[in-house]
Formats: sequence, C-alpha cells, structure tokens
Amino acid sequence: MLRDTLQTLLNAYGPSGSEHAVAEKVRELLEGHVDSMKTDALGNLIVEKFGADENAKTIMVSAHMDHIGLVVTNIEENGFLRVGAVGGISPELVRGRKMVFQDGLPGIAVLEPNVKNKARQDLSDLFVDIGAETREEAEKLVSVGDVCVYAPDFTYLGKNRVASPAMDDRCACALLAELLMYADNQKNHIVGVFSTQEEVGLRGAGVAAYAIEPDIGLAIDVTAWGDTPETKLPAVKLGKGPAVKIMDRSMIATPAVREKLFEAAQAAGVIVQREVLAFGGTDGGAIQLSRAGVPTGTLSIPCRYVHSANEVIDMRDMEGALKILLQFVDLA
Amino acid sequence: MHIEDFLREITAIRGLSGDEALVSAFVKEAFAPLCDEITVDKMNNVIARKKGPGPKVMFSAHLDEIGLMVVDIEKDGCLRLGNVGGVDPRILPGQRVTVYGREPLLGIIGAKPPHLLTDEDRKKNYLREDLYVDLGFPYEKVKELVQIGDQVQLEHRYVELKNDQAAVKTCDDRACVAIMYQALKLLQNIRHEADLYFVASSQEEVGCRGVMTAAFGVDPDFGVALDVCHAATPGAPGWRTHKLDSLVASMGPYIHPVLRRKLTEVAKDNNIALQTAVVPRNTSTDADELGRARAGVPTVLLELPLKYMHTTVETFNRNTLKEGGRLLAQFAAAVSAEWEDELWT
Repeated sequence: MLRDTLQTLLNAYGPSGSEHAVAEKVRELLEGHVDSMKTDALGNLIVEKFGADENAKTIMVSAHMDHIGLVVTNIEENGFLRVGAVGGISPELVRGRKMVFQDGLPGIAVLEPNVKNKARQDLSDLFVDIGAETREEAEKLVSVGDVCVYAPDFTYLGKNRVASPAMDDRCACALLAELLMYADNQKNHIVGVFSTQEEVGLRGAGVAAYAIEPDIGLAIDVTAWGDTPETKLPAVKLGKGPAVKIMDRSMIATPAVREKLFEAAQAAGVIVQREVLAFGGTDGGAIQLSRAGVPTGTLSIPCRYVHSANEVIDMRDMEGALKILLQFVDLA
Repeated sequence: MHIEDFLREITAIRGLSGDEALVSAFVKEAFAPLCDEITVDKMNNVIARKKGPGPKVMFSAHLDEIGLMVVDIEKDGCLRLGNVGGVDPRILPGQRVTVYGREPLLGIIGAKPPHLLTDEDRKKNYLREDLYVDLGFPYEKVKELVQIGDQVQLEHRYVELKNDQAAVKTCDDRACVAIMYQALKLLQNIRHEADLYFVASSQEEVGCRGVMTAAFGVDPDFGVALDVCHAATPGAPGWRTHKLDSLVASMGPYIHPVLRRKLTEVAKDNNIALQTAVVPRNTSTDADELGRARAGVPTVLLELPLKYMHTTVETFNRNTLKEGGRLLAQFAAAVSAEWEDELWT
C-alpha cells in the first residue's frame, strides 16, 4: 500500500549528507522485487529493474532521500546549541518546532524572543534547546557537526490528505519504490535512483546520472501550491492531479519527455496539471545537463507548506502519479 | 545568403530557451553546406564541424531567445506571464506578441490608461505580475486554445537605421550566430589547420546550459565564446559600455590570457579594430561553462556591442558584424598545434 510505504519512509532520519537510514528502509522494501541494488560514493541507492524489450531504453528515475535540517555550529556555555542551515530551512518555519538528532535526542528550535527587530530575525537568532544546563552536559550529548531534523510527525488531514515533515521528497521515494515493486515486464530498463544531497544543490543525482548515462531522465519531486487564501502561483492545486513540470529555475523540461508524460497520463486515465515554477529546482536539472545532455522531465506532487514541519499532500495525487509512472516506463 | 539576410531571417524564428528546435533546424540548414559534419544534440545545440588535422577549437554563440510563458489564465481570459530569461517588464506595455497555443495567436500587452492612474501609480514602474496578454477572446475560447506553459514570443521587426546601424530583437545572441555563419563562409577559401566546431548553443539565457553539454560532447582544446555587450547610450555608465563600431575582447580571470593575446594579435595583423573590456568575475556568457568543461578548456570571449540589450530593438553596427566574421575566420586559420605548448608562456 502506497500509504504504508510512505509512512515507513517518512520516519527515517536523513538530512543531506546522511541519508543511509532512508536507503536502508528502501532496501528492505525492495528486497526480492528488483534485479540489482547498490550504493555509490555519494550514498545514492541505485536500483535496477530490467525491461523486457530488445531495444529497451534506460530510464533514470530519481527521487531524493535527503531532507532539510539544522547543523550544530557551536555549543554555548549555558548548553544551548547554535546552528546553521542544511538546505533551505528558514527561521520562521522552524521556530518552536521539535527537532531530533540521529540518535533520537530531541531538541526544541527557538527563535530568540527578546530582540528589538523581530521582522529581521535570521538563523543567527535561532538556537536549539536540548535541556542541557551546561556546555559540559551538552557536549556529552551532541558534537559540532551533528544535524537535527524536524521530529517525525505524521498526521491524517481530512479525507485524502496527509501532513508530515520530510514529505519533500519521501513521497517521491515512496512512489519510486512502488514503481520498482509493481512494474512488471515493462518495456524499458528502470534505473531508480534514491538520490542524496538534492537540498544542497542536486548533488547526488548529478553524479548518478554521470555513471548511469541514461537515455531518458525523470525526477519525481514535490512542487509548490497556488490554492491557499493569498497564494495563486504556481497555478497548481492539491487533489487535482500530479503536475507535469514545464520549467523551474533548474530546468526547462525537454519537450519530448514532457509530452510522453502527458501521453502516459492519458493512457492511465489520470488528469494532470501543468506546472510553471518561478523558483526552485529538482534532480531533473542535474540529470538533463549530465555529460552530453539527457532528455529529462519532472513529475511533481503538489505539496503545501514545502520545507515546513507540516508538508501536506493529497493521496489521490499520489495514486495518480503511480499510475502515470507505470505507464511511462512502458511508453517512453 | 548575405550575413544581414541571415540575421533578418533567424531573428524572426521562434526559439525560446528550452524549445529551440525550429531555430536549430534553420541554423543546421544554413551551416550544412559550409561544413563537413553537422549534428543537433539532445539539448538542441547545433554542432557544425569543419575538419582539420590540428587542435579542436569550439566556437559558441547561443541561439535561444528570451520571452515569456503563460503561468495562469484568469477568469476574464487574461494570460498572466512568467519569464523565460530576463525580460524587463518595463518594455512590455504596448508590445504585440505571439502566443504559441494550439495555434499561433496574436495578442497585445496593454497598460492602464494614464487617465485612470492615481498619482501614486504614476510613480511606479510596471511589474510583470500586473501585466497580462489580451487575446481579445472570452475565457472559454482562451481555455480551448491556450494552456499553462505555452510560450509567448516578442515582436520581430527589423529596423534599418542611419549610419550603418540596424535594430531587431534577439541580436543577443543570434547576431553572433550570424558572425559564425560569416566566418564559415570565409573559411571556404582560407586554409586552416585546426579542427573547427561552430556551436550554436541552447539555453544560455536560463543559465548557459546548452554549452555545458555541447562542450562535453565536443571535448575541445580551445574555446571561443561569442556574445553581446553593452554599447554606450545616454545615461549608461561609461566604464560598462563600449563603442558600437568595433568588437570587444574581454579580459579577466575567466579569460585565458595567452589565448586572448593571440586573438588580439590576429586582429592587429588583419587590421581589425578591437576594444578591451575588463570582466572582474564570471562573464555570464557561454565562456564560463566552456572554460570549465571536462578537464578545462582555455577560453576567450569576443563580444559585439549592442544598444538596448534585452529589448525588441537591440541595435548593432553592420560593419562590426562583418568584421566579426572576418576576425573569427582569421583566428580559426591561425590556431596551430604549437599553441598548446605556449599556454602559460
């Protein structure tokens, strides 16, 4: 079940650069369903499922395992932790959140309440309170360089929606895992890449694409939303279907791949949205520019409040996306 | 084809960044009779090879153009706009545009009449969020013909000015593609040792992307990027602008010093005027990515001064264009295998 796969993957700790716990969960899920699994030098989990066709193309499908977090930069005398950003985490979104370190140690992210100019607070005003009373006590629990992430917090929201940290991009990891489980005798070779370090510059997918040399690239990622009171763009709504990316800051989707995604959606009977995003990027940008170029597209899951501790998606969009992916690996 | 006819034709062809297939096809057809091999790669880069036994030289001028994209359709049928590359919203009101929907559609970008503006409004510049394309159709008809992601191209009009000047959209950087075309024509009668690759590159305006994959494919020994720079106009800072009547050879950390010296020597030997520009950091041209392709490529940057960059009246000097062709051809002919040993001399 997509929902169970999703929940399993959401709870794993995996800030950019330390994604191995997520990879381990994926390995467990895929054992016995695929032709090969290996981990590369950057921690990408690369999974093959061979296609049936004599002239099968190699399709690299990428979903990133890493999520954003806070890295400890200094332990203060009174036991508080000063932190820096791992990926695009903002003080305003992280304030007051419960965080968790790799070993399960909890902490609370606090935005300094007693400052003159509240409108201009940045990460230097943020600290993490782990309950330690002195530097010595804190040093026994954490070291400079340790990373904390939003504590797992999976919530059903209404009939079809779920909220959780790390939905970006574990929802795509869940889709890719299910694609690899359920693709059966498909035409093309699927090389699934559970990629690393997307949030710090599409770094894992770039090296994976270099090694794989795919004929076609496809990234699965979340996109922003335009359906809350004061937000109009991108013109993408939750529950109205997955979105086919036209462009973002990292990539203009290769027209031929984009069209194949629309074809796959039609064949699967799934309604899709068209996404033009003025910011952001996905693994697609790195895959497309690998070596002498790879025709590449991105399939997006509409997601509200991206990079907050409550990233909200609609399971109907997820189910639609899985159907499209299963068609795509046959059609392309 | 005369170089200026080439420019007149190519600037009319649709080729927004990321969807350059039509303009690539035009370049392929025009370059094909002048070279030994021609390919279009997966990113729509056109790669024309004129063979020689010597080192590989890659020339690169980008063929993509800036434009707009439909990002939303309002209930009144207005098309809201996003950027493909850096279109300045201040130039948009009063423009005639083509929307590439299910069929090409003429549209206009209007502006609120001055009579209806408040004093406060009058002080403000136009913002892209406030502008829209009006096709004249009601919502239902617009929805039938137009989708989110459809491209919007700015108006093409070739204006011949006095004093050897002309204005047209997309001189950035198709004027430099025209210079490559001219060089290829001249090279039909000039002996060259180098293995020459003329690349009309894609997606420069969204981050010099095409040249990355083209340079990987070509794997050159030397690189020459061609792009446009700013010509002097009233009020523009003098230290950032140049005279319209000759080409510019930039210098700076991204430019290979010895290769640049070779370029200036070729210019001098052939009586071709060359200005100097200093670019203290990245050049924001194909040169940046060409220079760090694979294990690194010694690269120079040659620039054509242009007035009114990123408008529909990009203005150049016709003689500078022709001289550009001559310089490129002479440089191509001068490159020799010994240059590789002289790179840090």
